[in-house]
Amino acid sequence: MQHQADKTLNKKTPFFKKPGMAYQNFTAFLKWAPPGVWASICLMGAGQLVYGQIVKGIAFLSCLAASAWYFITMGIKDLAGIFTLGTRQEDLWLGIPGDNSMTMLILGVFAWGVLVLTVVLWYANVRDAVFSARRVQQGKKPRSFRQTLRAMADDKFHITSLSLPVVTVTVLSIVPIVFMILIAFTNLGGDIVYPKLAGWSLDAWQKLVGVSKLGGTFQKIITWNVTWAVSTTLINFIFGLSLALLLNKKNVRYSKFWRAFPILAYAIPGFISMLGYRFMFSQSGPINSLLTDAGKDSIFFLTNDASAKWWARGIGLFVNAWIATPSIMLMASGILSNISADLYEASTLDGASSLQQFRKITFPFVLFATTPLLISQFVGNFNNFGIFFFMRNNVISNYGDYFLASDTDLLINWLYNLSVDNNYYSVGAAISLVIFAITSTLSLAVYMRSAAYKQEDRYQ
Amino acid sequence: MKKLCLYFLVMFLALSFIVPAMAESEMYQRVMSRFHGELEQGAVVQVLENATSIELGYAQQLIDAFNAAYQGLGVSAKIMDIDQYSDLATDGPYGYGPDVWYQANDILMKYATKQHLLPLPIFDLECYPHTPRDAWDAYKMVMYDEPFFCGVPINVQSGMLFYIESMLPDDWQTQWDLNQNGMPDFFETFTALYAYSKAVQENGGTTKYGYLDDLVDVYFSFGYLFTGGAYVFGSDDTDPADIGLAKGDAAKCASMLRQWAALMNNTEALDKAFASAAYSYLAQGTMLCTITTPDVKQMFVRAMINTGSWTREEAEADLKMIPVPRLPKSYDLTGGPWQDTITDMDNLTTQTIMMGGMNGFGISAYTQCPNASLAFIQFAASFPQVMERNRMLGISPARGDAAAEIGKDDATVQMMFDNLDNNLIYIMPAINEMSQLWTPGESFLIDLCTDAFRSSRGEPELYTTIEQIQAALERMVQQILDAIFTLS
Repeated sequence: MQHQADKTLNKKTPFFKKPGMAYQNFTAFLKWAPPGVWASICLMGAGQLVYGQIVKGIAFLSCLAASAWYFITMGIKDLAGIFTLGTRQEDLWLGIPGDNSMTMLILGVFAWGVLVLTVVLWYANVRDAVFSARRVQQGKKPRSFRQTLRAMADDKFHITSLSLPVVTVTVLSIVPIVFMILIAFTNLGGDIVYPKLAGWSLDAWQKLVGVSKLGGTFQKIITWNVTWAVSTTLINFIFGLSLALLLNKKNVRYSKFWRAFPILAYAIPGFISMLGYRFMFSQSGPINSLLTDAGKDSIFFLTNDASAKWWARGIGLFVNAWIATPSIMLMASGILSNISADLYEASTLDGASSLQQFRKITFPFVLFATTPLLISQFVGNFNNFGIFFFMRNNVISNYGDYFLASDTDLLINWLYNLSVDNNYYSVGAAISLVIFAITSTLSLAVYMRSAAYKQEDRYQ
Repeated sequence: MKKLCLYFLVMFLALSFIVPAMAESEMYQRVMSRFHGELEQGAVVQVLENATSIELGYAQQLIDAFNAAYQGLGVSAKIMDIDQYSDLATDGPYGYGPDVWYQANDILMKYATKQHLLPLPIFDLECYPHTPRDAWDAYKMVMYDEPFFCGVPINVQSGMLFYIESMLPDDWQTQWDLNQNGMPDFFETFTALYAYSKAVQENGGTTKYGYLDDLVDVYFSFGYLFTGGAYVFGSDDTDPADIGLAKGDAAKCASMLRQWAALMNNTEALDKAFASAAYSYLAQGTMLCTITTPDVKQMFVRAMINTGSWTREEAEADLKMIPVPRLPKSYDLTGGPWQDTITDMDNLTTQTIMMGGMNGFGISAYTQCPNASLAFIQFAASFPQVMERNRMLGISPARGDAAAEIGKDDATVQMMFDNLDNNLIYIMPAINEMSQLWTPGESFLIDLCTDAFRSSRGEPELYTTIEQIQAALERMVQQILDAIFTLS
């Protein structure tokens, strides 16, 4: 009851009452605010000290002090640096110090992140002071530090438990994504690399859209990329499910023994399998040797030749299936063992055939459970860098008018060619944004339409 | 009056040389000020050597020798893992990467042009007077309107022909030595080598093939184009807007590669993976000869020992490394009797120009110990160490005194040195844009050589005329230009 009353405290405070009337609420809030709240507005943690919450007040003050120290020593410079990306060019030979645009961009993103964090903390500090003020107005004592800790482990547990993941995701995922997005709007790359200074620019997007060579290659690659991602995901799923169904059959003898083979393929690191297959399908590899020994012509499996295009693509699909099918098989085996035998028994009594049982029971059940995984497989396959990097790098398809790419390259390989091999960072970042837009849109669309999302409770 | 004019002229000429020299000297002094000669106490010089040198133990020997020599002087050296933070442009500014890097000149200069490598006070080094100017020029670049040198050349790299003497046909002295010079004719001209290879493939011999190679390696195959007058970049390889790979008789020369591919009739020639199989192929008698760089000589020796037919001493004596044969001036390997190219060599053939590199040492601009690093390079470039590098790796030294000493027993080394002096080695250009050459170049070569196999597979042939090859060369040039300029 007490917690419920506490929860409503903030809602009764003018500023937090009606979000739609921000200005009126804000002025009403300022009129209402008692000195303790004003203290927190002016100095983070001061309100808590006014209300006798010493530990909490010191904690807030410490955060403010750390933030102030950071901004005074370097943060203000970094906040401004992100706008200029440097004004003095370094001369490494003469030892004349200068700016590093890439570093300034990274530090700038970090500084703005710290600023946002400080504002959020300040807001939390004011909210906390308001909460204490309301309690005081109601004739209660402000929460002690022990009560605050108890509340964090109880009704505010969601905040406690999610804080660390949110901070981790912010630092490890969001900051790099923001950094990459920003790179796409600079002219970094090519000749503009450290120690030369970069600047803000839409060059990368103009080139991606406007330069015909780039645009033409982009179209060809994205068409193949989508085809690849859909087909390889389906192939892996079908093979994995088929294997699981086969090995789950009661009449298959030594099923555990047979199951070990795909697991062995799974246990071998993927790149070793890829290099192995690259050798097998190379011109001097065993497959071509067998062909020539048998008096046949060797086949251009992976060579830079028009005839190799679909061979190489097919080999890519096969190798990816070899690597990924076992994991699907293992997961499907687990899911199959969870399907109640009663369902099959009842359907058999109703006269359902094996195919009908598969269509109406097994497949929907497996699909429901694996949709999120299939989406992640799709995204992974869309960005499957390794397959064609290990199988067919250093190839430019002469016959297909590709720009720094081969006809088997996926967007991620092209991105690598442009940004790592050729230092076109901003164009690479722009392409990666396109990849992100495609994969996130498709993934979300498929997931929102899937049974796993719409009928979450159905199989629970 | 005449004397006075002459006096003024002499004074003017003298001043015109002295004044720039003084200006150059001032900037030179500023740039070189960090090389004051005082070793940074406690410094550990991180050295990035190449894979073969590490594999065959020379790199460790060099480090041990340096550490022993500098024991008590407060500096030491250690080997870095291959490829560990070797991208100075991205890793260097953050404090990673080697202090000293041994690499081909084109790679070193890619970093030097962006100031990631330091210019070195080469005129103060002991090896300077012993090394020819061409070798130093592989590391030359102009900055602040003055020339600077960002590397110390150690060895010349260029394609050489490898063969095993005991696998020569028994009748070579009677059938294949028309000029009676003690050298098999098929190692003197490519026309004769083509004829010999054809005879061996059709009639059998001591080996299955005569000459077998991967024809799609730009480093080796572009020598054909250079021989025909092509070049990589204009203005002494400094102008990336002028790519000359389709110039001169490049197309005719390229057609010889197609002829080789057709004769070899082995699709392994289309795959660079052949290079790693070449050692055992030569040792097992699959082919009589192949072309590769001298620094892998020991890999052939090892492969020969592995067959069990040679001891190390026997293998080293039996394995021969000679300059590549001459090319026909007709640029047609089948354009007449091969005998004519031997009897009238000067008129019918020309020296083959091979692409080459100048492997050497550079110092990272991010090093904390430039003086210790320079001391290490000085040590590694010394006469005894270069001799040792030759002994263990079979390299051809860039130092003239070392080349002369080794040349007493191994004429090939002296020949390689002379080839460098005579411009028969096309040193890879030292500008950043060179990195855009390899992939389009390799794709062109694969496409061209694959053409020899198309008709037998029912596919239309694409490069049967010189005009078609010329068009393909121009497409390749355009690809390189696109790679350099489209996004820059």
